Parts: sequence; C-alpha cells; structure tokens
Amino acid sequence: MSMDDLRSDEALMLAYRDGDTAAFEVLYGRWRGRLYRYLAHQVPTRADELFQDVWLRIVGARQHYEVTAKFSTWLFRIAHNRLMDHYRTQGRGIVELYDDPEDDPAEALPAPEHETPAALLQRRETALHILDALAALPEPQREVFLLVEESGMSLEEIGQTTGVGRETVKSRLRYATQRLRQALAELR
Amino acid sequence: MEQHDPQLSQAYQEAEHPVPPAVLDVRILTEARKAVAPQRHRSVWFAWAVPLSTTAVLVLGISLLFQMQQDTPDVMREAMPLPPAELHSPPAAAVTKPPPIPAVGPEARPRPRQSAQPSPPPAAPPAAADSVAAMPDRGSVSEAATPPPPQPTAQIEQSKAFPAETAKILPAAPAANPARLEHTPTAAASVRQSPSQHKMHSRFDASLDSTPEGDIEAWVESIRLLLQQGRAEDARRSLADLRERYPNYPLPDDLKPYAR
Repeated sequence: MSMDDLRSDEALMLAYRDGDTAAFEVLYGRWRGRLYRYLAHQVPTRADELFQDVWLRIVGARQHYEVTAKFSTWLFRIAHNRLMDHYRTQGRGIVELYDDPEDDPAEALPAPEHETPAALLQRRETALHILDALAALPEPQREVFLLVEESGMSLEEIGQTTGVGRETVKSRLRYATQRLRQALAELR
Repeated sequence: MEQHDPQLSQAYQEAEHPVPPAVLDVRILTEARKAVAPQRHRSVWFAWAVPLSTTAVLVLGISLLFQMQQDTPDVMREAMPLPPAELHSPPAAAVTKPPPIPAVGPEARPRPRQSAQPSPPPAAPPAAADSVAAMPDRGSVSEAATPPPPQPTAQIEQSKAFPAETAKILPAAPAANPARLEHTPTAAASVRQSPSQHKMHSRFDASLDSTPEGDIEAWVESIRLLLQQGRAEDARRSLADLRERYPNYPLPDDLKPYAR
C-alpha cells in the first residue's frame, strides 16, 4: 500500500466507493495503527475483534458513503459505538459512566511541574509507565485522551464522535491529564 | 488545544504500543476487495457460460452432421438412376408379359419382347397417339406404318423419368409420324363403329386389359389401309408385329391370308 498518496481521507474513501480498492489500502494504512491503539488501550483482550468489526463496517458502508464529516470522525464514531456495544455486553455499568459527564473530579489536581533534567529522566520512565497509568483511567476519560492523541480531532469533533458536548469532552480530557500526571508523579 | 499536556503526549507517543497482527490486515483487505468485486464473480460465470454454450452448440452440430450423413446415403440411393438392367426389365407385376412367340412359318421372324429396335411406326390412330403423347422423344422417327404398341404402365413411367434409356427400347412416338396423323380420324371412326370387334376384345386374356381396345383395332385398320394401297409386304410385316405382340388377338378373316 502506497503511503505517498496525497489525496485526503475523504477522497480516498470516495474512490473506494467507486471501486478503487487501492484507495482503500492507502486509507487503511493511514489509520490502522491509530485505530488499533485506540481500541487496544481500552479493551486489550478484544481489540482484534473490535478492530476487524470497525473496518468491516467501513467496508459495508462503502456504497452509501458521503462526505458529511471528516473521515476520522466517521471512523472513530463507528469505533466508539462498537466499544459501547462491547461495554453493554459486559454488563459492568461502564456505559453509565459515559452518561454523567459532570461528575469528573478533575479540578482539584495540581498542574504539571516544569521539566528538569531529572524530569527528563523521569520522562523515559514515564513512557514506560504511561500505558499502565492510562489503563487505570476511567473509561470516558481514557477514551477522550486516546481520541485526542490518536484521531487529531478537535474537542468539538470528539464531542460529535462520542455524542457529548464540547465542555464534557474538555472536562474529561482535563481529568485524564491530571490523573496521568499524578500517576506518573508517584513514580518519581 | 487547551488542557493538552505536551509532555504527556510526548510520553504517550514514545511508548511502545501494540500493533494489529498481519492476519487482521489480510482479512480486512480481502474483504475490502471482495466488496468491490461482486460483478467479477458474475462475469466469471458469464465467461464460463460462453464457452459452455459454444461447446454445446458444437456438440449438437456435430451430432446433426453425423445424423445427416447416415440419412443421406438412403436419399442418394433413391435419387440415383436405375442400372440399365432394371430399365430393360420392368417390374413383373406391372408389365404385361406377352406369351412366347409361336412359330408361324418359315417367314416367321422371332422378335424379342420389348425389343430395343424401334419398330417402323405406322399410321397411328388418335387413341394410340394419345397414349404415347406423354412420352418423351425416343429418337429418330420412322415413317413405317406399324403403330407403336401401347405401353405398359410401368414402362411408361420409366420412359417419363429416363428418356435417354427409353429411346433404346420404345418405338418412335406416333405423334411425330405425319402419315399416322393423317389416318388417325378414319381409323378411330372405324374402330368405334365396329361392335363385332368390340366383342372380340372381350375374349382377350387378362394381359390385354391394359391395352386400349381402340389401339389394336386401329392397328388392324392401318394394316387394311396398307393393303388397299397395294403395300402388301408392309401389311404383312405389320400384321406379323401385331400377332407377335398380341398373339391371342383373333385376326379378322380378311387379314388371315396375309398372316404368316
């Protein structure tokens, strides 16, 4: 699959809709890693299954695709919905966590410190432990953090993807950031 | 973006993340290609349909050719002309076989039945002319007085189909003989006005049934005419032919002296 294709994600998807399978391969190459990480850091044991499901839904919706939003928004919307479906089957009440965006206890945490050489060393350790800290986040905050890191969407677009308002997305992100910093600070 | 921590982001980006397995890539890309190519499957079927239908047509055509070749020899055999032997010997059921020629005297001339030599055509009555009018030309026309004998049915049919062959065995057509045509009305009239001759015809055997009565009577009248013209030898010859052809025909008393 060629990564030198300069067409936008939307143009590639339209080309695939018209029968160009090579365009799909380019699109798949651009987003396969990011989508997989988004899923793998939330449901590690079911990432392969959800990852395949999301892409097959993309393929299945090929004929009716129209550019109404960014491709990334559409892609992660499908992924989010698939994730919610998975949570519902778990029966652990995770989905309800997404319904109470106002209960994020994010404001009380302190801001990050200025980075020092020692902090640089800490950064290396942080990289080793951030995934553990990420896994410890609540699902809504974790997802927002991952969407910010992987999709490149704005807060508004993330809100459209997850079905919540911009402020909720903002709050969840702030909470996630603070919790991650706190967890990493404990390692020092 | 506010609330975005670059340090955390950097840390996240530098971490070792899981990657999708290759089998997932293959599976997803295969499905993506399949989704685009359902028409190709149909075209594959259509592509096979064309050679299959062509093969079926060829098989049918070849079997029809073999069938026609088996039927054609029978058709060709029917259309082929009969060998000369069959032409010279018509079917026994349809042909009137005259009895063997009796030896009348030293002057008796054995004549083969249905001889290939054409008899000299006499002045023919109209009935005789009508009976042979449908026959094709049988070759040269002679002006002799002997009328042509009425043809058996089978022989007539053969003459229609194979004019070249019948020229060898049948006498000349009486219609081509002007002499015959001149005397036709007279002979016909005398035939019809002779009740005694009518009775004689009734005593003929079954082999004469196919011969029109008027033809024989006309022949007799033509012999009488030759005698009146002083052509005794011609009259005798014609009478001999008549007796040879119709040995059971009872000669009139006036012609018996000339019978040999």
